[in-house]
Amino acid sequence: MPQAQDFYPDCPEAFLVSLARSGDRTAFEELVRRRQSQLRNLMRRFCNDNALADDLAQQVLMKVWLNLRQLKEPAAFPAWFKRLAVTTWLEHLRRKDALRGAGELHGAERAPAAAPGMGMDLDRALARLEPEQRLCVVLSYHEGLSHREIAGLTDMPLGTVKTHIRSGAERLREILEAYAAPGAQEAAT
Amino acid sequence: MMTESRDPVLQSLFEQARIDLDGADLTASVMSRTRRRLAVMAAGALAAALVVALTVWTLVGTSLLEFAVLVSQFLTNPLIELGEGWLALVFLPVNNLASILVASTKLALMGWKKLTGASLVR
Repeated sequence: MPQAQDFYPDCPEAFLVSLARSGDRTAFEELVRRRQSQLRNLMRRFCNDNALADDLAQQVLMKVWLNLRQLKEPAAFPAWFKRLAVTTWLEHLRRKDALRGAGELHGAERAPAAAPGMGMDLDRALARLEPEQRLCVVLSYHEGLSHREIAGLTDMPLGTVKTHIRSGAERLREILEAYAAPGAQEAAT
Repeated sequence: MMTESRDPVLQSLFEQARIDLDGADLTASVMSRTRRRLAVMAAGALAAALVVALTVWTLVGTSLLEFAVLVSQFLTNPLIELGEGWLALVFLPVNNLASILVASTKLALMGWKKLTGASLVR
């Protein structure tokens, strides 16, 4: 006879959220399993430090566990989850002044065309942007959010978001120009 | 919503940088943290309940106890004075208000059942 846990991997996320909200720890565990990779990738883009990214991801997941009951509509979970991730990152910036860590990379060399670990180069390049620029660029390019959605998520004015994305993308292109060369991306991966 | 145009090279770089991370350790770590938090919350709730109980007992406990003793004495007072002989000892269990109350309640329930065919007590 199949166990109840066998059904969780096939459950729709909204159903898992409903179960987790009512205290089902196995459903919450399945939610963590499904969301952790996306969350850790997002945090890595934000902070250019894998250990810190994992730590922040755990903080986000603990906030999910503690506050899930406040979520009225299970279907709203993805947006709520994203907001928690962004808020956690902004809190970290405020607490630790992560700008200082990013500043240390200002003297770094430009990424070579065929450097190993393209993701690492991207994270290093992102770390050289201003925190607000980085936040907006990551939410736009990594998460695929619209400018309006980013403005709503970060509480920044729409015009500011657009400016950050435009200037941030320009700066990223400059730093990562080697990757724009024909054949460079294939060589890097 | 994909209303804004994005630089295709940057878009491609972001997509390539996205890797599928194994989540076994992180999931175990998060679940372990939730267990610890639950234990702390349970201990906190227990401590709070103890503090409330002790406070209530300190404030009204003695008065409640005195009230309970008074009620108990009132209910067990002999209804008919039979002295201290063997007759008093024989009738001691039923010669008080508590016994009368219990017996009358029992009779009322039996009467109700007889009249309506339904029991008030499950």
